Amino acid sequence: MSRRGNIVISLMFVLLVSFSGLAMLTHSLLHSKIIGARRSKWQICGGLERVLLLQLHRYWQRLADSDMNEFSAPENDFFNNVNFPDANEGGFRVKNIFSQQAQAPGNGFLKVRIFNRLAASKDNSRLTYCGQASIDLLKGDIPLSEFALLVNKEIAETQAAYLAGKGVEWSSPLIPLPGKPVVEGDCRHLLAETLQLDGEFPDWRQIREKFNLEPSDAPILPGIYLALVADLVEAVFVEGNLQMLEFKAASGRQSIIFWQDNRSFELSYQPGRESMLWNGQEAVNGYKFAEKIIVHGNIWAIEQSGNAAFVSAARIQVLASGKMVISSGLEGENLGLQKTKFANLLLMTSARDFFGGDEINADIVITTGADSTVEAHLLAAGKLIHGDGLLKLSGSLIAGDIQNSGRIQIKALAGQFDFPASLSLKNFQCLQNFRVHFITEGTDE
Amino acid sequence: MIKGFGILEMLISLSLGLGVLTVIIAHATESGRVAKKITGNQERLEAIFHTVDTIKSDLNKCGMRLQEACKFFNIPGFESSQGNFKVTYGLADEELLENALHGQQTLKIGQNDFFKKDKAVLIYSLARQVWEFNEIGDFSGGNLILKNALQNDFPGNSPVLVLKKVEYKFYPAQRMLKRKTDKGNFQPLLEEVTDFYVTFFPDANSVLYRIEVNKKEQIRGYIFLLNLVQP
Repeated sequence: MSRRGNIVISLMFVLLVSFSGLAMLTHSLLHSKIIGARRSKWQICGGLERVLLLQLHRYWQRLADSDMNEFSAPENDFFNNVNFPDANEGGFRVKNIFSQQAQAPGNGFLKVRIFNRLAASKDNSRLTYCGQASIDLLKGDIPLSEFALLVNKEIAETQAAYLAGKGVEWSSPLIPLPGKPVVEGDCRHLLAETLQLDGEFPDWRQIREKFNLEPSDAPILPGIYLALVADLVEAVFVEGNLQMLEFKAASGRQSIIFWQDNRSFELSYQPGRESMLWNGQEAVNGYKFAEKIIVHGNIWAIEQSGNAAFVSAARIQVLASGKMVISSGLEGENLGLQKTKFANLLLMTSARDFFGGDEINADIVITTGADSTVEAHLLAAGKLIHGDGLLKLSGSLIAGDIQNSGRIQIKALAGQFDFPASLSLKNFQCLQNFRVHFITEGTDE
Repeated sequence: MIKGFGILEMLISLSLGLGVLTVIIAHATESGRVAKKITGNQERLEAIFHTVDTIKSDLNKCGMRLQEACKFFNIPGFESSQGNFKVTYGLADEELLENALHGQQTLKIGQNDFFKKDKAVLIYSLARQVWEFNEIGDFSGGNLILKNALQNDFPGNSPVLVLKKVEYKFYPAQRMLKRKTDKGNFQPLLEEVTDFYVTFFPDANSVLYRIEVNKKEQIRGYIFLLNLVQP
């Protein structure tokens, strides 16, 4: 009986120890399995993300290196799985799935948005990663207002390499244009159009008639003339050089001060309202101003006075047949809400005299000093010339060439102004506005 | 032959039996305690893993579909303060199929299942340089009815984004990290949190976070906000 009792006690002891040991072991094994599974998931996700980014980068490179003018219908001939086959990198696969969406057509050109949905997956795994990029394909006679950064010059290397060599930095999805675009168009008809003159090119007789001067073919005297229609000042026409063009914003009013022959004329208004004040001879107070200034001559200094150069609603366009010198920073008022910095000013030069058609110096020169910000779109028929220091340009830049010994940072966003739309790249095809919409694990959400 | 135990044998066997029983009970108690501790640790570790996965997933989506709006209108995809951070991203996007004017409340867009009642939306136009937030009142048959009338004019093809906002907040008194999405309430994500901080590096588009659990374990993560980058 004593033997039987000892055996029962021993068995009970062994069983208890085994149970507790097994329970601990099971917990530990389960835990190890969970950790293992997580590690494996992280590794696969890391791999998928890496291969997706690599493929996106390759896609971008391919777009940057391709000339759309080589294809008759790039939306189908270029964006397809023959040119962009599925990639396989060490068991990770990436598929390109293309789709397209027609955008509202512009004046003389078409815009198609091409989407590429990239889907990354791995053999023997349910994990996926996906991303989507889009790019706009422009076809036809594309106006310059669609371009944010363009050098209108034959260059041997790519535009990106050329701009980098010129000390130009940009933070926008620039697709270089290897098609060597040549801008077509003539600014002379802009003057005729703006002043609503008959014929394609202006002449002095028409100008005189417009400003109620004695009829003749002789040029008008240097001065500042207002082109009026009903209660609207369509444009300010300046004959002769301007010593200075000064911009000032205060209390919601935009002021523009014209300096010529040591005399100043101030025009102030509230954009879009019949609110104009003018200290010249013309009785135009209370008129609306269409914010267009055309100068037949050079502008030797463009400056800001006061804390801000522009009110937020201003959209001022200045065209000169001659040279422009920006001699101070130009910054719009800070609304304090969000720091949206869209340029309120367009400065454009014409390489031909409005009346004679002779070729003239149409450079835009920036002499703002060490570090400055210019919130303007610059469209120079000649060169853009900048010296030492950092220039932050918050607008688009289109120039015949760039001469820069400092740094130019461009927040290149095409501006919606009328004047650049009159010049275009004829029968051209190009890509604009590359965007990555998302990169995410799994299928989109 | 005498059968059974004598009194002395009985006492010895009882003593031995009690001793063995005491050892077994003590061991079983200890095993139970250890098992409970291990289970607790594992559960906490699981919760930490889940928290890290959730934070990583949210940060990875930060700024998704909002790159353009973030850049030009300075709409923040990521915001942080002490013990708190907020992530915003686009769940889905569609484009206006026709122009929408100031004061209009019904927009025409493509069919999309993510456009649901009460969701926040962002409408913007780079060409017009305008943007505004709004909320979906209803959506059916491609007609998106907004809760508030538009404050600006938007041309056709202007993007309309459905937004998702995720917020994390550390409650030191409750030793808890909580998370909320959109207009919901903060829900507990991780308990026994003794410290939590987040630092955003805007130049590097990266976020560094640290979670301290029970003043012992520390989890650090450095995440590059992939979707905030616009090439």
